[in-house]
Amino acid sequence: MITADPSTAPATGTILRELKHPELRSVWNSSRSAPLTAPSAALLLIDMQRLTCDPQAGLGARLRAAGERKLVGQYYDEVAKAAANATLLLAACRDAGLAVVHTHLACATDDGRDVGSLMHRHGLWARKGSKEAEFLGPLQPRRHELVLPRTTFSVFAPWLGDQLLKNLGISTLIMAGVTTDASVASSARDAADRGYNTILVEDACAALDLKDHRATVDFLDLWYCEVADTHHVVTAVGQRVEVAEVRMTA
Amino acid sequence: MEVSESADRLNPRPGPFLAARRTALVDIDVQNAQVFGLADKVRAAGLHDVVDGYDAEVAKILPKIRVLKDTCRDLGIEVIHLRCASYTGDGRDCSRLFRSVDITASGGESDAEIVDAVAPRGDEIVLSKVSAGAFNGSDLDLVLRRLGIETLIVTGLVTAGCVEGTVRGASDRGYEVFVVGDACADWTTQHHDISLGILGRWFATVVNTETMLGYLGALRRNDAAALSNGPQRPTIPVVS
Repeated sequence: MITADPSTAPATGTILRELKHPELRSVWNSSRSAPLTAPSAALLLIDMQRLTCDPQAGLGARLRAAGERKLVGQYYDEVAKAAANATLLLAACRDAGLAVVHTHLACATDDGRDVGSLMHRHGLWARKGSKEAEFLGPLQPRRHELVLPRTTFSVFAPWLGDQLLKNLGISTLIMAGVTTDASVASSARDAADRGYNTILVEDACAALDLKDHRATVDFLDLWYCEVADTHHVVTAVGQRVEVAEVRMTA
Repeated sequence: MEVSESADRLNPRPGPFLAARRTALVDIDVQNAQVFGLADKVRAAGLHDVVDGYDAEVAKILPKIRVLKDTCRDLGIEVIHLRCASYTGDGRDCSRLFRSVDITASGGESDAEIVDAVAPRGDEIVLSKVSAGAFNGSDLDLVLRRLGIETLIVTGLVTAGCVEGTVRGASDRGYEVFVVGDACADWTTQHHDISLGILGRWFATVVNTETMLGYLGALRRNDAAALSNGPQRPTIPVVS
């Protein structure tokens, strides 16, 4: 609560959260109705592919070569948890008949010349059809599910991402994937700017640095989206539970 | 993938990436509402400590933004001023995010004016945006492409909000971005610092005003060596 008495004001770390809850949040919530049901809600899984999730490939191999063994260990532990939770989300969303969108970093050329120089520099690119562009085993797309290849952090930076979701009639996104502070955060910010309702599934995301994961989730929660964990989303999905109420389910 | 083997491919455009004709300074939301209005709202809610901290940070960045803008003007670098402003009288054209937190001033209102200390000069471009990230709610991309801009120098308010959103959008669209960290401010130093850390790792070259002025000085002297050896582009892994 925002208090009128400065002596009982919350610590600065919580100020933005206090600003949004509950006054601003009540304004926000009154302006929308976004149940987690077909046909307007979709699960968006971001970069759950070998390049970013397989410790032996892509990012992991590069980090290991650079001597970041500790970091590699931490990150892939988090990725394993995120992938397990994403698998639960995927099953629940399929059961409830929600649209599922799989997006991955995948480019058209062998040498990545169609990738921006920044992503190229990071090594965050993989040729479409290559091993590194493959989705993780339990998270394979089914034939009728949308697969969106990208060469950018944000799903919405390419015009196509926004347009395909609009064509599907999607206005609510259940978002999960890697990495929290890069592609996931860019996508969540853009989604909010473009008017989507987003639930970020915190424990189905991972970042190189746990500290950045937490900070990113906290900040997105203040302004850009709702945050919930897998358990809550799995319980709410398919029910007429509003985005803003998911955290209160189960 | 071997790092040594991939080094060349990871740096497809070596050499200086700061050239006056292809660079713009983009100052974000240093407008009356962000500098004065928000603070008043929070002060009214009794959160004086936070507001005082924010006011102090804003007071520190204004002279830095002023120097950066003047230096860019001298070099013929385009200075572009972004602001949160709606195109209607009641803000109904703003993104829902902006409407929900009442950032809906229309272009003609005092809240939307760039503050005097860093005000536009002559025919400099002032762009109204209706979203946090400028690439989602303004024609910034179109304007930059028409001007032939490839590199952005970014300053303004608030770091983890509109600044970070705009920088993320710029890097995805292929612009090289310098974020001048001490010419940006946020409500709390914690949010400011975390934001700069993430931007520096993935999206932009984070520098301070002094360093940026040094690069601009090298540009003036046409010192190619200083420019190609100085600025470090973001690369992973960089873990603080």
